[in-house]
Amino acid sequence: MVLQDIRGFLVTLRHFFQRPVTIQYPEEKREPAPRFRGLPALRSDPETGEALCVACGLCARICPTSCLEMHVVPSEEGDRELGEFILRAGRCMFCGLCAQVCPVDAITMSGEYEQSVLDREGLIYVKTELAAIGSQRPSWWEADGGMGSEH
Amino acid sequence: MTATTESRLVTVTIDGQQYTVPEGLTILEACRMVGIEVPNLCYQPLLRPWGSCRICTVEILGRRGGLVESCAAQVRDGMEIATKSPACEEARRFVLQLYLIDHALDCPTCDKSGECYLQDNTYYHNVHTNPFRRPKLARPYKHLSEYIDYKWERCILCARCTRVCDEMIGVTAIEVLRRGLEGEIGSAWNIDLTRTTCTSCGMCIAVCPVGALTDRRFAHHPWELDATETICGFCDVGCTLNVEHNRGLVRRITHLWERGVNYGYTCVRGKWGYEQVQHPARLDSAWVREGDELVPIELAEALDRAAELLRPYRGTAFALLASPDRTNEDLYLLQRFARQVMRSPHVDTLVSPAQRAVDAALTASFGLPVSTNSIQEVFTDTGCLLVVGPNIGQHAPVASYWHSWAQLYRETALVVVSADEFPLFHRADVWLRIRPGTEAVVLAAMARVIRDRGLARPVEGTTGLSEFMASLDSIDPVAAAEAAGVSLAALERAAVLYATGGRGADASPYPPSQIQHTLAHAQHGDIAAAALLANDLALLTGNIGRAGAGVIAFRGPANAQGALDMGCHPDWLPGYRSPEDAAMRQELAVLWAETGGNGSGSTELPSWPGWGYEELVAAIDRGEVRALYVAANSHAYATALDERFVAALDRLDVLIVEDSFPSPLTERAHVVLPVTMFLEQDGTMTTADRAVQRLRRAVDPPGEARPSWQHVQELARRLGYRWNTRHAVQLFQEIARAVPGYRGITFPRLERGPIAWPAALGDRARQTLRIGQNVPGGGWAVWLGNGIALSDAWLRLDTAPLRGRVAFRTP
Repeated sequence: MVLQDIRGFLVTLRHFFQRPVTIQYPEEKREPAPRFRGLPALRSDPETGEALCVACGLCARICPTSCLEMHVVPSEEGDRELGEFILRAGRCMFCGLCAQVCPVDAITMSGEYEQSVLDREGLIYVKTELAAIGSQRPSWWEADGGMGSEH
Repeated sequence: MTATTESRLVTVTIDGQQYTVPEGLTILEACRMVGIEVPNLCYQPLLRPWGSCRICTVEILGRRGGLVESCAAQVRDGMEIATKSPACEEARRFVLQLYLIDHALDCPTCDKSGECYLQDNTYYHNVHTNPFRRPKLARPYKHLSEYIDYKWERCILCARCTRVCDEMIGVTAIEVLRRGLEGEIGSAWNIDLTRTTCTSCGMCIAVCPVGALTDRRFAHHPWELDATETICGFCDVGCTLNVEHNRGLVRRITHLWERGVNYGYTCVRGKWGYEQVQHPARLDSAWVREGDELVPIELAEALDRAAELLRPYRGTAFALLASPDRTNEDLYLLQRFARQVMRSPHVDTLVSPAQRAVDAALTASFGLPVSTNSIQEVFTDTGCLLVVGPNIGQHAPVASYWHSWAQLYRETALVVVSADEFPLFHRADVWLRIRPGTEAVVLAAMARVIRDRGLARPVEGTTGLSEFMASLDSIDPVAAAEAAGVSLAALERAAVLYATGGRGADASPYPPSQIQHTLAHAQHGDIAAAALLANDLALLTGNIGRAGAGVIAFRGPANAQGALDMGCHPDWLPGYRSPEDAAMRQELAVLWAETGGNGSGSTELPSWPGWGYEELVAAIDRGEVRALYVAANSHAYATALDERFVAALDRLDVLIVEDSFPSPLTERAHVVLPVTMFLEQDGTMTTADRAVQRLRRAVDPPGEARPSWQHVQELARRLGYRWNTRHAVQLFQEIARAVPGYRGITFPRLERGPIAWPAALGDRARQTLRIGQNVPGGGWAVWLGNGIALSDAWLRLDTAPLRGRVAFRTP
């Protein structure tokens, strides 16, 4: 009986000298895996800081839940540019098709996973918010931590 | 192909099946006719074959080197054609690969993606790899004008744009510049298109098979848009527009080729006029006057207020003015409101004196203020076109396209009498470039020349011929040519061309000649006389009651004709009934009591003609008219308001204004009601050549804006009348009962295309009426055998009593 208790305490004692596995959330946050599919976000060119989106609308077209809405406006140069970009994250199922279909890697699945809000309005993200989340992210394809390049 | 060509038939074998088609068709047209799709890039209906794209290649079996361009080769009897043989598939694939060497391939961001001919063909022909590669040539985008962009690396140089500009629009503003790999589309010296002859019609964008010429205001994918087919509300040609919209906004106007009176072609107003409809300044709520200022108010309250203001002014102290770019249903109910509810005969349209003069001239000559024939007859019958008045290329642009077309493809003689410059006029057989305001002088001199040369063949049974002939004695062609600043020889040539259908005096018989005039837009000179003389010229040369002949008057606002048909005129009840005729009045009173009376069982309509616009302004000044209802539509293309009229408004006790934009009228109004524009409502409009067409609601109106008929219906209900229309279709059924000419026209029939009134005729009348069956696009063009004649109550075409209505009028 006593022996049993000592065995139990030995386990405790062993862990006492190891680093703790508990993360002190929310003070401390866990880094998701490189290919984790968090909130879709808009990337910008890491060198110039310019938005990469060419406003082709393929992400909005492919989205299975129609949670992406893209407003396109004619640009000064005669091309098209992104007017407004709306993500209704409450409907998003994090499938990543938008990031896959993007011809210029302007949209990526970020590591953003905190989505608790007090009302549903908070789940609607606009262009500037999504750009802030995604600005420093590598493209989803490159974010594999050197796992390989078979894609 | 002229009308006199007898069409023969040939038998050809296409893809193993025998077909019989008319001789003279190209192989591509024959295939289209029998329903076989031949891929193409540079073919455009109504334009001459070009044969630059080499995609429409077909194989002619049993012939050496059997691959030919189907858009340029004509069918021959016994030809065996294969459209899908391996040899032509291979040839097409090869050509596509060559196109794709330098093509930008930016499909995801290209406006054309999804409706691109090159994309479609690449897909159909399974071109997935390109063996030909080299570094792509690239050049910056070129802004041709504020509307049009050119993207060089997408262009395939098929020249559709330059051909449409040259052959159809007749302005030749763009051309293919340079040659070979450097070839590009642009204006001469690459200057901005707005500084060239360009009319900004946008047809180059419309015909571009790829995304090379693009609309600068448009940035959507075609598949994101919904389309509504409707009618343009900015002039009385009545073009069919395909309105593409999403999220409640119109994004662009596209073109239904070979459809409607315009076969898909539009002008700058049709192509970009939607910007007026969704202009940020549009009125979207009702306003009422509180002291010196207007304050916004709920629509229902504004209507309450308006009804209370109007209630004491029933009778002749009330008048109503309606803008003729409202729908027939609006105008019908507006005049019914004035006559039935307000019991006032003072109803008129808000148009300029020139427009009124042209209406009066048509009435004096033909008995009704209508154009006698259809514009469509230019495609089949007309031998000579006489174009009179201010620049038709600006006032009725799509009609001017047909002039250009008819001259090129039917060798129609084109005679222009205009002070304005337009590129098409330089190509006319005779352009009498007159001093402004001398149209009447020139037309009178032409009549004199026709008389003196013995070319007069007056329409039988007209009255006033001898007086008119005698009055020509006082006209001296030499002095007239002098006064107008044109050469006498040119004037004489113009007269002979017109009198002989463009054939010259020796020909016999003479083909018909048509007059198309824009005198209603004129600013100078004796417009009434000029309009009368145009009618007299047609009567003098036997060009009334003949297919391809007649007089067509473009009067400006989109429904100028419909407004008169609906009785928005002091002298006429709906259907040109006289208010003085008790039987006519009674018939209408019964109809109106049945469809919405005040419960008393009878409606007494005013039995005398009201005051027209001019008299109304004077009556307002005198204080005899004290309440006015104005249904205006002050968009950018509306007829300008007369200052005298605006000044008189301050003297009114009550001014109710419906408008789409803030205007001098709304500033003076006591109640302002917001009103819809043409893209926002259902209904019908009637073109300059009497074709009734269907408007469809494409987008929602801003805020509380409603169609006019809903406003007056609400007012009538507040004033004790049980008007209860829920949709324009009910009103149109009532119109078809009240207006004899509209009998037989129904919304379901209008779904199939325009219908020219008169539409339903008795057996006897039908004998004198010919329906144009060989008019391209369908047999709806209608002309009358004996000029236009409607009796007061019913449509009658007995020649004897009505001939008297068609008369020479000596100005």
